[in-house]
Amino acid sequence: MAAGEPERRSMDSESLRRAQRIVDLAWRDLPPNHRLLLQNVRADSWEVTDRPLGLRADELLQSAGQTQLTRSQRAALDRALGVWIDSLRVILIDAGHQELRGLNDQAYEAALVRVAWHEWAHALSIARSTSDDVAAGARLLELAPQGVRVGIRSAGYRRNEYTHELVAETYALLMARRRRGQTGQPAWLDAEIYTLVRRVCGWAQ
Amino acid sequence: MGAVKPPTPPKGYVLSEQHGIKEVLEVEAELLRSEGIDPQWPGFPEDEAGRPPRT
Repeated sequence: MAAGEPERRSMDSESLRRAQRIVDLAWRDLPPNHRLLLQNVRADSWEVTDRPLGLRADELLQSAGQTQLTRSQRAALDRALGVWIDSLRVILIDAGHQELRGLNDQAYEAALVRVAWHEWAHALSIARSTSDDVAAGARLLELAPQGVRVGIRSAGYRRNEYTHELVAETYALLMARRRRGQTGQPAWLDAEIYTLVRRVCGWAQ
Repeated sequence: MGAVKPPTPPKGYVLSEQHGIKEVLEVEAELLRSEGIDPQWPGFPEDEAGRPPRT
């Protein structure tokens, strides 16, 4: 914990179980072919925790006999709401993240589900995007809706991460539409990004 | 022999101070509204039993 940061409180067990159930429901809400893709790339395991993700990831890496994170790497990952750890084939979601505290029940659910959808798509993007897709990240980001572009840029991602973040954010938005009964290409989404998400995530709705 | 540098870990899903989760949800809501879709979170139909009573 950095100096000056408030001490982080654990979630009560009922709230954590509730968060775990929400993510389970988000998984069941995925189109069946998306779940199959995730199973095929072994990205169908996740853990919903109320602990900082750098700390939790470091514990899992140590248990698996893998190289642990440095202190600065751990601190950086502690800021994340979710993460796909490729070497462990697991998604971690921080249900007690500071960003989620203070949200009402409805907004909390929407945010937590969004993190899960984002991470599943991120895992598919890592596994299935081509090197050309990754190289095109900065150009593709220019084609994204302004709010999505601002969010990715302001978070400080490297250029070679843009494509994965764009796929993940776009997928989460498409799932948000689907949850509300809307499918197909939305007018606000550039055709090239839509085609990319269809290819990488198997989006066929 | 020098220490082996750990591989670069994933950055994870991070948000900036200027563009936090409330802004992310607001961007989503604006895009949905632009299509005439009610942005209110509909929940999951099978979740009624698991939903805690609202206070």
